[in-house]
Amino acid sequence: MLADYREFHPDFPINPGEDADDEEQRKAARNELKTLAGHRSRFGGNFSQLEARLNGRLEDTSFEAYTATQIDLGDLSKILNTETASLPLVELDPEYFDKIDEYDVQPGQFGASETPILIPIQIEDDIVIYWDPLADYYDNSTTNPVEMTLSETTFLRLWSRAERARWTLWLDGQEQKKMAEFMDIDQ
Amino acid sequence: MSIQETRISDEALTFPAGTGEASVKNRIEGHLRYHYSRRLFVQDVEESEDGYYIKVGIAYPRDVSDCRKQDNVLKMVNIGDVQTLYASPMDEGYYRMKLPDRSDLYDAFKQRHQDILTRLDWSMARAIYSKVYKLTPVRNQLNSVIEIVDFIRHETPDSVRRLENAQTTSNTRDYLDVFEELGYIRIEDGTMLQGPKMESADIQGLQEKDIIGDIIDEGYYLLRQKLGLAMLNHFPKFANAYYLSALRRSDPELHLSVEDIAENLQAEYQDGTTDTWKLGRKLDSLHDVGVLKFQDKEVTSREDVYNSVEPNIPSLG
Repeated sequence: MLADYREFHPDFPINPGEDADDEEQRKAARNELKTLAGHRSRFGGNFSQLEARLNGRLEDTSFEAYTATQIDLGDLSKILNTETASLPLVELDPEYFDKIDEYDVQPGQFGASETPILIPIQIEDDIVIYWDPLADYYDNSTTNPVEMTLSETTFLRLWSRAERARWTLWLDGQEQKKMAEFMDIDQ
Repeated sequence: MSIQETRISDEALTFPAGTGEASVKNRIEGHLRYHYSRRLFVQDVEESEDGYYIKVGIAYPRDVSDCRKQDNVLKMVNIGDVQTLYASPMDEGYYRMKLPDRSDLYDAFKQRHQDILTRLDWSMARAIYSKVYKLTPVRNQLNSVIEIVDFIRHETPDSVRRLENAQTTSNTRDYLDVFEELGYIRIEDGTMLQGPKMESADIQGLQEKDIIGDIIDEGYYLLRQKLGLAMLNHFPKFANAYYLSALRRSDPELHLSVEDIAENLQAEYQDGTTDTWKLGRKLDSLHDVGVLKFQDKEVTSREDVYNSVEPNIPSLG
């Protein structure tokens, strides 16, 4: 998602390091992302501070991170069609894993599973087209992300059933914000 | 009371109990996950007279795909019993749970994970001891133990001083403390006598190798921690970097690449032996003594080792 966003907005200051020249740069980039996500080895990251951490990092830039819950497909479409906005991240119910063939997720001894995180890229003709980072992890045939699809109905059902119903994160770089700041100074 | 719903503020989670234990789980799990980690899960909720006790664990993903079949299997490892949180009753059916710091929960998780690995290493050490015993680094490190067993069997009763003078190691006394603790010797006024365990081993006609096997079995933690015998868990750790995945998948036929093993070492043991040449040499040693099969850069189980570890393993996830 970040790599894709940087392709169109090279000024975006957080570099996920996928285009890094050497291992050291890649590692530094990974560490920055881990810090932003509050990630600790095996323990994982938390979302409660994610937006604040990202915005702390994006202070003094024209970019901003947003999270929302309870948004609908129309809102999601709006984000997807906003040129200055990144692709969104969404959380789905773990039942999602039963719907796909690309890989298999087996819950542990207490039945706890992974929470799927997807990157929708387009909604059209009652279909949601998306990238699934885990499918990319398992697919080594191509460097491009694997495009997958779910029907709008299934997507909406699984998106609504996630714990934070319809949780979504995206970035936006509003040129207007810069303009507004200039105008403030001028006055 | 004006609270309308479940919420976190001032380092505490407040929630309405609803209709009991299952309802409590549903109400709070999402909030705890959001606050602590996406990987947290509520393992168990227990209602008591003075409130609710809520046991939480951490679920993290490990890739246990077979490198031959490329079957793309992600196994969720569930580490349970990480911490028990307590919620006390407030007014109007609401409960309040004071939340520990995130770093405290993380520390509790690391400790729990470490305990599970130590127990697994111990199970593996017992299962493969008689095989790795032949490996030079293991024999070298166990040399003092081997000597002391020989001395107890053939020279006692005799003075501790004689053994101390004869051994090249400077910490004979520490070894003897462990042997005494385990019941293999008795020391009276500077004289060493056979302990009940050694007498019984002699009656059973056990070989030196079997006696040392028993000592490792009973004294694994003591030998490792008091005497720093790192070799005791060195080879079990490398073996487990494979068997962990096979046991989690319940598949002794699982094939893993050297890279998969390196990843397991890094992810589970925080061991950075990622150089595949170096790792290959360890796996070669383990193959040669029959702990696992390592051919064409692929690792798979030895049936006898898999079967002897499998019933004794702690819950691995």
